[in-house]
Amino acid sequence: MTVLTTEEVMDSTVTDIKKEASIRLAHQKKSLWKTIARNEIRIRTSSFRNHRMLFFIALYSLLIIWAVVIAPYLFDLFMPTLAEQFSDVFKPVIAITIESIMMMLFLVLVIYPLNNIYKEEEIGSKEILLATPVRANDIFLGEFLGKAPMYSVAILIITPIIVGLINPIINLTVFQYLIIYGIVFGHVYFANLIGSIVGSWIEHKISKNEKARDLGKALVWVFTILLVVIMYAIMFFLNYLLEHPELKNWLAFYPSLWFSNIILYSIDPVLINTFILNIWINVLLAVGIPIITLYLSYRKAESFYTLEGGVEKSSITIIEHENPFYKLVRKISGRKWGGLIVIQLKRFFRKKANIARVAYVVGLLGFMSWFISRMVEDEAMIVFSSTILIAIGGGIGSIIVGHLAFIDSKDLIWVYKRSPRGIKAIVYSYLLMMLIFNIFLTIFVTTMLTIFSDIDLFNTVIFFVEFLIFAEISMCQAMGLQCISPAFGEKDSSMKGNTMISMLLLQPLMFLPISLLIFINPGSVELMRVVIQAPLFLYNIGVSLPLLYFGMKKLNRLE
Amino acid sequence: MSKAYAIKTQNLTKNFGELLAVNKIDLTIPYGKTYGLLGPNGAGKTTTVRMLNAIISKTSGNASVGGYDIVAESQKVKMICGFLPEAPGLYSKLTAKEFLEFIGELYYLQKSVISARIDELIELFNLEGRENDLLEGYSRGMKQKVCLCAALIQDPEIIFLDEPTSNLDPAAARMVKDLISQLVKKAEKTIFICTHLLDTAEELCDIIGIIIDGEIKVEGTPKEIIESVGARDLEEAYLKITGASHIDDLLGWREENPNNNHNESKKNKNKKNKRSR
Ligand SMILES: Nc1ncnc2c1ncn2[C@@H]1O[C@H](COP(=O)(O)OP(=O)(O)O)[C@@H](O)[C@H]1O
Ligand SMILES: [Mg+2]
Repeated sequence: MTVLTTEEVMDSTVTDIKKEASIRLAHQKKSLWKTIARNEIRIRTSSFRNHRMLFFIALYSLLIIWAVVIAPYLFDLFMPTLAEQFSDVFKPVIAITIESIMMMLFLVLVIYPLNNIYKEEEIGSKEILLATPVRANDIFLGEFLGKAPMYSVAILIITPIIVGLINPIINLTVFQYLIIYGIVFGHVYFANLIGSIVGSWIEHKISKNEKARDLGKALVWVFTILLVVIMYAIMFFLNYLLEHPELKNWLAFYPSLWFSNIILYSIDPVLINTFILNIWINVLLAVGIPIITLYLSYRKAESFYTLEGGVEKSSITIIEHENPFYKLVRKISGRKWGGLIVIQLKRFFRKKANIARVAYVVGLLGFMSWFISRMVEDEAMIVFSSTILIAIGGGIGSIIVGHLAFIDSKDLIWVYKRSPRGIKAIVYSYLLMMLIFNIFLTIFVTTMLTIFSDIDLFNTVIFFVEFLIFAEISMCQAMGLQCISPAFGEKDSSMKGNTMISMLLLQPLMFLPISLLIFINPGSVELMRVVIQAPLFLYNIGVSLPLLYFGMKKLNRLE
Repeated sequence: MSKAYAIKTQNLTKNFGELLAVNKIDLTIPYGKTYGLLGPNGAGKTTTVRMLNAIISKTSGNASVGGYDIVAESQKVKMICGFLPEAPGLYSKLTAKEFLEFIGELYYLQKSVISARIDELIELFNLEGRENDLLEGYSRGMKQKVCLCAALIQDPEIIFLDEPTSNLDPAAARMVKDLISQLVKKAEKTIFICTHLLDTAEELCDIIGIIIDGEIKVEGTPKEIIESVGARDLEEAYLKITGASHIDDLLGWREENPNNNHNESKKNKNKKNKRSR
């Protein structure tokens, strides 16, 4: 240890320091948000820390080449032909495509900053920041603007696509180019702003205790899934939306629509005729709301950049006489499994985050059944739409709640492994617990379907059985996946990974019914049911059961 | 408020909703002293230093740090104080040098001053050669060193250290304690240490205040504290004061029954174990 330099380092007297500090404070001209913003950029480009300049020059050159040369060329290859071929529906299709792109972009950008909340590191560094003279509003502005280079990348990637879509319809003038770029710019930054505000707010207002943190985590995660679901929904119902553009009005206050409507208006004013807000209100909202939001959040930054609402542990004592439901479960499932299932149920439902997830599944499925029921017009449609509901709905539950078997800890596995019943006990009891869950879910979905469409009893029963079986098979798939890569302690990476793989595996299911109908034209409704459902079930079984088998083998070898 | 003291508080209080975290604390700490706020987890130490550094607001009472009011002149307070948080989060994707530059700029220091300061601190803390590595690769002890550097970057007059050694292994804790005692040697620095570790407090501090449930129970030099409760060492004094209700009885009972050797020896054995650790 070099003691020598201590004297030098600490060599200043009290009065000197004070005088010097006051002078510095008095002469501060530099706004600290610039420092914060630069730091933000440094953090995000740390992999290139030795060649940051070069990195940015290369990145932006590439993006500009994409925007000016590659994208226009690519779109010129096929867009004019498409425009000619489908000239009658071309405009509305383009309109809806642009709308969905911007909707998705908005969601992604709002959710992205949320992924960073609840990281201990971030809370700790906030404390260091708050101890320095920097003001909260400078931190807020700096962190917001520091993301600018990253968000500019999104703008430069997306906008040429939108331009490429529009170009065959009208030859854009320079002014229109500017408007489109400006709108995407405003849209992206507004989304970023909302994301930052919501993130900070959740972190500092809702994070008072562990339970809330749990809930917050689930929320973020649920948003991510919502994104994917909306994407699928739009893909599926593109046609439907084309015929009923007024459905969009349900989303009048979804901000991305204000922005996309301006673009649509510049293509053809007719396109937003059915929308309840006219162009001027759209412009007003698109310009005014972001500015007001930015101003208010800058002024109010103090209130969400604090440590006042830090982390606090809470404990809950549950003293309960086992409720009748658990007693019933015990009775029905018998000596061998009853106890284990009840334990799984308690473990699952005492976690607030899981309840949020379940509520989310129920809400989503309720919405889907309502939406799909509206399409039911004849026998064939009943089969077709109930198949889609089975394929998507049956899978969604497993994606959202199927991956939570091992999240408590690795120790749980040892407990079961040591016991004579082995690993099977935990896997099967979770699956049985999920079966109970699925039964309730299926009852709910079936009820929704019967309420909103005039499906007959025969089809109702068939739907019930099929939905339940499908949901449980999907559960096996989720179980198999997490046996292979268990998410102990809610390990972020493996939970996200498993969910992604689950969704990928379910992906073909969404397209199977549709594509089969394109190639095969079954004579009767019953034949149609077999044709589109048999492959669906066979595929799901073929994927899920082997996964479960190998997963359990792997889990048995866990060390 | 008085400028004669580095830190002075009157009835400083903090409520989190219903919870009374800090209750009417009165501190008077002269310049150049090392003060140790000693207390069990959840006693309100962190809350107190956060208030003194104007990181969170006070509920009531008054406090001045370096002669500046913590509310009205919070900017000035922050300028002259260095603060090492309890669980500091370093930006893992920055290098040590970048991190220190960043913190330096937040104190409105000039570029040239910052880089000179960083060179000095890096040498002092033996971080040469690693200053351009990302912080994510640093060990706990090294991270703590970097945080200490950050707390010292603007050459603060008053330094607050919240649990500086608690999360470290013994070797790293030793090293950090050595570094702190180096700082202590320079008489002008006022240092405020929060800790629940007796040895840290005893070794480094001139004055110790024992805080329990948000209230300062005893204050004085280690020697005074030991004498005031008639204990043999600081550990016993601490146990007596913190566990006043039940441990007092326990100890009292032990003293009244010196014949009960079984318990006596057990107690001593525990103590010995603790020390040898
Ligand atoms: N941000 C907060 N919100 C609510 N309660 C808090 C917060 N921070 C601390 N507390 C509570 O205040 C009390 C004192 O905490 P703290 O000052 O961290 O104790 P110490 O640092 O002495 O361990 C504890 O009961 C703690 O739960
Ligand atoms: Mg503390």
